[in-house]
Amino acid sequence: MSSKVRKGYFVFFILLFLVLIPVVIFYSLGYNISLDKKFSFFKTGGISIYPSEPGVIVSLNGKEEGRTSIFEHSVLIKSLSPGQYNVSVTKDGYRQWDKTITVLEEKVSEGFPLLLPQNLTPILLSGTSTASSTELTNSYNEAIALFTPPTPVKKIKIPSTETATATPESLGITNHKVLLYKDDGVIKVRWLGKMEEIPYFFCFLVSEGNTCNASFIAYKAKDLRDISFFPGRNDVVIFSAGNAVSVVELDRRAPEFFMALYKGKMPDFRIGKDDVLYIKDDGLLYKIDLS
Amino acid sequence: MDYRQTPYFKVGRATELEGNDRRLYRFFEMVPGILTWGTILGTIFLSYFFPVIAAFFIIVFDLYWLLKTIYLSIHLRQNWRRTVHSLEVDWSDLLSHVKYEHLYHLVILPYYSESYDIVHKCVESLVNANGDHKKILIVLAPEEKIGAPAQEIAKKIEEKFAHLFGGFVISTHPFGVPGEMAGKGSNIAYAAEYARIHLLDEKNISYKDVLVSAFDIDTVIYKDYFLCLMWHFLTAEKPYRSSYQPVPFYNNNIWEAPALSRVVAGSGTFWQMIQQERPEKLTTFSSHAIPFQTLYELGYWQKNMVSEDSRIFWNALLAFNGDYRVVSLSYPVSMDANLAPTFFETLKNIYKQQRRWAYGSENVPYILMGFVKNKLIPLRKKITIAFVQLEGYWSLATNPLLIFLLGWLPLILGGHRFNQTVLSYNLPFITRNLMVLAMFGLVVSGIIFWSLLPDMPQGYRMRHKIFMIVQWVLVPFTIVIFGAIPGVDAQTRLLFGKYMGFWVTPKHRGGESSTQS
Repeated sequence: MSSKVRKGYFVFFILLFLVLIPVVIFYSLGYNISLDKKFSFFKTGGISIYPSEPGVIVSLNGKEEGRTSIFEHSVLIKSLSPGQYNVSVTKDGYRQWDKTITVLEEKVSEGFPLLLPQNLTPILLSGTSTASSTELTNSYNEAIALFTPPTPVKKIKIPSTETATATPESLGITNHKVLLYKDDGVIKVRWLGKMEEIPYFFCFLVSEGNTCNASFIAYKAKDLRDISFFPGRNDVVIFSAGNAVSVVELDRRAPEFFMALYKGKMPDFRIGKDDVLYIKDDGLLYKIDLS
Repeated sequence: MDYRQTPYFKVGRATELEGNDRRLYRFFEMVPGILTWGTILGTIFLSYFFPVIAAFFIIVFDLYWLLKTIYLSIHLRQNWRRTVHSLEVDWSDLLSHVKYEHLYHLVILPYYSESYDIVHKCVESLVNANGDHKKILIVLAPEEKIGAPAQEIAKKIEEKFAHLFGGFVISTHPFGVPGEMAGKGSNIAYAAEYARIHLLDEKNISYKDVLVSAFDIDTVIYKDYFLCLMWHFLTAEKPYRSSYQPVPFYNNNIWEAPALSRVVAGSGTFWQMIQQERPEKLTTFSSHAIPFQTLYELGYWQKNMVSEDSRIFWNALLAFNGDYRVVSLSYPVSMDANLAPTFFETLKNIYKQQRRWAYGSENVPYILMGFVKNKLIPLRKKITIAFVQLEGYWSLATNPLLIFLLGWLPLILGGHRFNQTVLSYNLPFITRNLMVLAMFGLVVSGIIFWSLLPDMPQGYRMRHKIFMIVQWVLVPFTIVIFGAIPGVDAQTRLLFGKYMGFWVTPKHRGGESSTQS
């Protein structure tokens, strides 16, 4: 190549670089061009949904926007104008998860759907050992061990930042610095870590940014008995109250996800190995596989 | 001002100077390391405290790297065509149009502990080269330190080949000479002076008629090397103000070497081919040629530093006040890829060799000092050269780290607030997409590498040949482990004044070894 040709290439690439810098930077910030408004620029935001398993369809305002696969366990929807969007997450055989998510300029709102099978049938456990029910027998034995004697649950004392409201019974359980405890029939949640690392469900996205509260009331229930975190999650709670064992999200964006896993008389529950939920109700033992 | 008369002309390190010169030179030695570590630490600092700025920097940098890759690949393709053409040209016919019969070739062959077979193959290739062998003068240059085994090899080679050349001497480099660093530079400088006395002066050969080729002992030349060299010398604009650089192919043992070694070797070849298309940025490297008259005026290669192959170019540039250049031969010589008896030893040797080459950053203080002291070189040239050299060593050490490792730092260190931004989500997407585009160039690299391979030996199958293309997926790994990290290693040593010595790369060829035969 002659020196002139090389200089030409050099100048061309320098110019291309200078032209592309603002394009790439503005794109990375979420700027988009409005074809309706005479090609004016506007800032966009995004929504990122983390179903964490393959075969999940994510829809926005009724329109499919993405699917997860074995390689991609989340769906990112970009270039959204600021506003509210109805997000639906569906998977064959699973209960649909819905959430209204607010999108702000240059921000990505996140959603962590809870996917539960549509048919969660409790399986009755018994102590009879037969060749075909060895697994059930093992489950029965595990359930017995969990319920009697009372299984000590790792609990911590709530830091006494509240006056008078903390009672001796208010001992909670933690999961990744999220403290879950019951207080006079109310399920409460508190963040024990640094405010800069506070999980999304303690915050609401508002126009000025995030408003985060280090503690809030998750749910009020009559005759509240046991509480626990859903296996593998620190933003979903399982509790027994009244005649049901139920699950509720800590994500307070509408609609709130609530589901009764079991209805009986006055059930209690324990969580065993491999994400199995054991329920004891009126002298009988049941199991529900939550994995 | 004759720069050759100054105390800095043959300086090897700061400790050889005194007073303010020493302090200045020491500062210049630190510059490459400061730039490199400043970039690495600066990226970490920015990622933690200003993740948005760090993200911008990384995105812009990735864009720069993509465009640079495309720009350089244009040069690579161009030199590939030129090199292939050079191998097909009838150099005899070209030379027939100029007067060349007066020229001699002085070939200096230093060796250390290499085996007889390796030395033999090198000399044999000189025998098989086209041209008048009576105009080829050989200096076989063993190291005294090795003792009898090296001398036996020299004698055997002399017995077999000496009569085929116009002259043949054995110059044994003395061990432990004060002021010398043991290594190739001190050896070939000694050999050149030995040849001047015992070959050139004895045979009454004019220094101006001699072209010196300083070869690594594993160099196997192609048939028309001497003809090609003479043609470029005779047609150069300023033949005595030029060095002549062939393209190093690492083909001697390419089929035996492991994939990592092949990729590293191929990458080195590609870089040299790219530089051959940018002669204003080209310096001498490894096996190269220079007129003896010029070499004599420069006082031969430096004996007190590691990278004597590139230093001779900078000696010349400063001695001749900027009026010096490298002529690209675009004609190959074949050398050895790294190969050791075990895989891990091969990896270790690759790393050490790359680190030694990266230690060429020791030229930076020499160049900067020379530019400060030599007022006769045009300022524009000084700025251009300084920028090119600093950017080159900075790129080598930092670019792969920025692309493949540090690009994720804003996401890790930026905090929850940053991780909620569109920018933080786009950063990995944009980075990944830019890098995927850049990696398409590897396809071109694979094809070019394939085309330059020697014939597949017997016993190898087509899958071995296919793997010669597939192996290029290792590039993201090799440019970090065998590119950036040795670069950082070498510059850090220079930064802290932990000067390196010369390390001889062991030579192995499928069953042979560099141990004494």
